[in-house]
Amino acid sequence: MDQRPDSDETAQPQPPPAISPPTSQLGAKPPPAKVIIRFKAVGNAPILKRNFFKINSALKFQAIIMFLRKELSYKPSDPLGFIDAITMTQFVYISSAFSPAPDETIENLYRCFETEGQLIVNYCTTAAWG
Amino acid sequence: MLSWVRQALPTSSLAANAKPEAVWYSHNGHLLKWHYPIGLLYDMFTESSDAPTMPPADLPQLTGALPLPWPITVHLQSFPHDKLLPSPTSSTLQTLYMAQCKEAEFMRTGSTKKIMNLSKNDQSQLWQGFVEHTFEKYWRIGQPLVLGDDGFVPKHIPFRLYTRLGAVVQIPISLSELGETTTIQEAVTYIINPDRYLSGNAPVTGTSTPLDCRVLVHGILVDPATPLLWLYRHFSYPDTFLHAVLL
Repeated sequence: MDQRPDSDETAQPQPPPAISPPTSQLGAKPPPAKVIIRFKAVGNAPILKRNFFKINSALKFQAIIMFLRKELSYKPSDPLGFIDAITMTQFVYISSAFSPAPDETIENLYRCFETEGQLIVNYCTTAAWG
Repeated sequence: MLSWVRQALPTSSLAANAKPEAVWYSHNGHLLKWHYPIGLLYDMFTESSDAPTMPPADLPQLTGALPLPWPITVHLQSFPHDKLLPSPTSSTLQTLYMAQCKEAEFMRTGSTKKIMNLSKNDQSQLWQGFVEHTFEKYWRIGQPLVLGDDGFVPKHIPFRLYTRLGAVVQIPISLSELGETTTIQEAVTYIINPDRYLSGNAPVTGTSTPLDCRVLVHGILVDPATPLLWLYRHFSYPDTFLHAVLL
């Protein structure tokens, strides 16, 4: 039987990690049931009396648009009003960067794009980052 | 698509009069979301039991495990507004496509600068290449986005994991944290940890070993040891997301 050099005894082969590295350290935890949405008006868009709200993270992005429309008392004929669900998203953005599809969940958006614990939603009355 | 449907049903006055916004599609009772890639829908909803027992003789024989042609039901009324986005015009389709490209770019680089800096012509080339199935045209603009400069590793992989129940999970997968050689199996295990809810409200049973992961991408059952980065670079969809279905 081969004698192993001493140095090898200290360098024991590690069993392959089951998941490397452990997920518990990597923030792979579920988002809270409710997440904070911070609204920011762009350009001439009217500002809200209160600009942050907690919203159920199981809802879809469309719920944010509908909520915003209600808060701003928009009518279908107004710029943020109904054109169609896709065109409507062009007036509402995440982190001043892009408009998600109306059926993306707030949960997924929060996981991917939250900034300091909030999902930043910019809104405007003309397409801003089209 | 609607013009093909009209051609296929020339004798049906109902089809001829169908309003574009009223048409929707389903397969085996599953609604087909028009804004999902059709290959993804096929991966999500096709079971091997769907295979026709006697494939029509005039159709090319396909060797894949899953059945083709794919039977789709065309509906001309009762549009399920609560479950599907309203039917698109070509303009809203392009809007949504570009918005998805931007979302993916934001995941890759943390900004949408590269897409915002594309000229109108380049943006239109990207779209036209995709719509016309002209790969070279599409890839001339798409390649710098998906692959970036030599050795570019996206900040987060634009990756969406779908279940056959229709749930979608999109979480930021950082290869700088997980390692560039992270496999699809490790990524899926990372996504489905014991605390995570994947389908409805049922918690997925936790396990400390990598999941027995059966994932379909473009109709292919992916080897669990395939590196996620490689898969992303070679198998992303035209919207520059990697869409995979967990079986």
